[in-house]
Amino acid sequence: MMREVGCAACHEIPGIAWPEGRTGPSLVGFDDIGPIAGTLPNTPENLAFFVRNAPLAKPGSTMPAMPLTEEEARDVAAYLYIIDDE
Amino acid sequence: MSRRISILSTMNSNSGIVEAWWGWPPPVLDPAGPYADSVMVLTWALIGMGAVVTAIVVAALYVAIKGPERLKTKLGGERAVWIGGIAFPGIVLTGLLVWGLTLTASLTHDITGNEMRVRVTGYMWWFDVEYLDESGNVVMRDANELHLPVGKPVVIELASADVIHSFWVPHLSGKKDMIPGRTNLLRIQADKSGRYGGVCAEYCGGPHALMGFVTVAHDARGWSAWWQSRSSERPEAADRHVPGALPAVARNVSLRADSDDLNGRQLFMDSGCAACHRVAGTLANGLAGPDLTHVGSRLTLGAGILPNNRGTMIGWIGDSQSIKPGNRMPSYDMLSAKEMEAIAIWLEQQK
Repeated sequence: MMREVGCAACHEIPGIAWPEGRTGPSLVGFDDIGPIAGTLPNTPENLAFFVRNAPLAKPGSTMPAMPLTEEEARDVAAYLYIIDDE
Repeated sequence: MSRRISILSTMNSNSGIVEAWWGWPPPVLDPAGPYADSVMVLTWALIGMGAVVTAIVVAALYVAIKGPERLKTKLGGERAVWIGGIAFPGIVLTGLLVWGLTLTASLTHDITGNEMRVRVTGYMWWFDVEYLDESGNVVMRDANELHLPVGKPVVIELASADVIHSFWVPHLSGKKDMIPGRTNLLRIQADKSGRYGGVCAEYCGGPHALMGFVTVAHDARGWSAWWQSRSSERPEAADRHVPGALPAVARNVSLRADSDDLNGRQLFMDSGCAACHRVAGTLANGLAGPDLTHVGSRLTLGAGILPNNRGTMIGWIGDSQSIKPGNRMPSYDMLSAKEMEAIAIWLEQQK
């Protein structure tokens, strides 16, 4: 799913070798690095909300609302929490 | 988690590059038009003949080592050399040559001049695409995307602006080089509607491996609709909402903080984008980079490598160098988030 929408154009993502975009923060070790976008509690639910509604969750964010369904957004969130990426 | 993953496997499957290399059956063995078809038949015939000859050689080797004395003597005789060494290959190879040339004769048939013509020019590292009328005038410019009507031969005028590139859509034809200073002609035809990936097949430096495009073959109705959409006057479209079902929480794409106050078009002109990119109907007339007149309706960004949505557009503007290292567009990280977004929104409207 992350490949289909191109998250990696802005983010370094564990398990995705290319691209490793730098416009957004690296998502390596995402589940261990503090609040989402520096504002939201770091939970899968919040992340699933954030990827579909970044401008609403954090006004002024560079990240746009990504074209994902709710289910897809949950899958993306689950991926970032489950993946073992010390 | 292993990070040693092939780049292809990590690209989105809709990109032109992945479509050109991957799939089952492999694109080179999955022809979608007559020119690729004859090449595939010849390929299988040669593989088949190769298998038969290998089997004969292995059998002869077995006889020579372990076979009965009587057969060994025969195999070592002068007659076997005349038959197996000269007559058999002579007849088979001559036959194959005649058959192969007949089969692929259509590849070198004279171009009648009545075919639709498209000029595709290779740049480091993207493809400029110009649709031509009967007298060779450019009627529409696009980039990194080639649209064709199904069932009609189309002549591609292959040119290059810098170094040697090669044009290859494995589903539709063989490769042909794009050579600076000359025009090569390649006839392609798609008999099935669909999307076929294409790549540059000649190493051209830097991010050559990230230089691809998408070919879209339309049926008659789809073709006229597409051509219509491209030929008609382009009014400044209203803000477009990204498609997608949005139940419980509405994805609010129009909510974009202060971007409403920012004029993406003006930013595009003022930030220097217009020096390299052309957008028909505006003052942007740069020719060094891909034409962005229709960028909002393109299937990919970055020459067949990224899906096209607001996020990837912002990522490309903000730091294209991390996505396609060495490409000739600088990373516009001096723009603010809102400015990048405003430009991306304006570009989305350029269909």
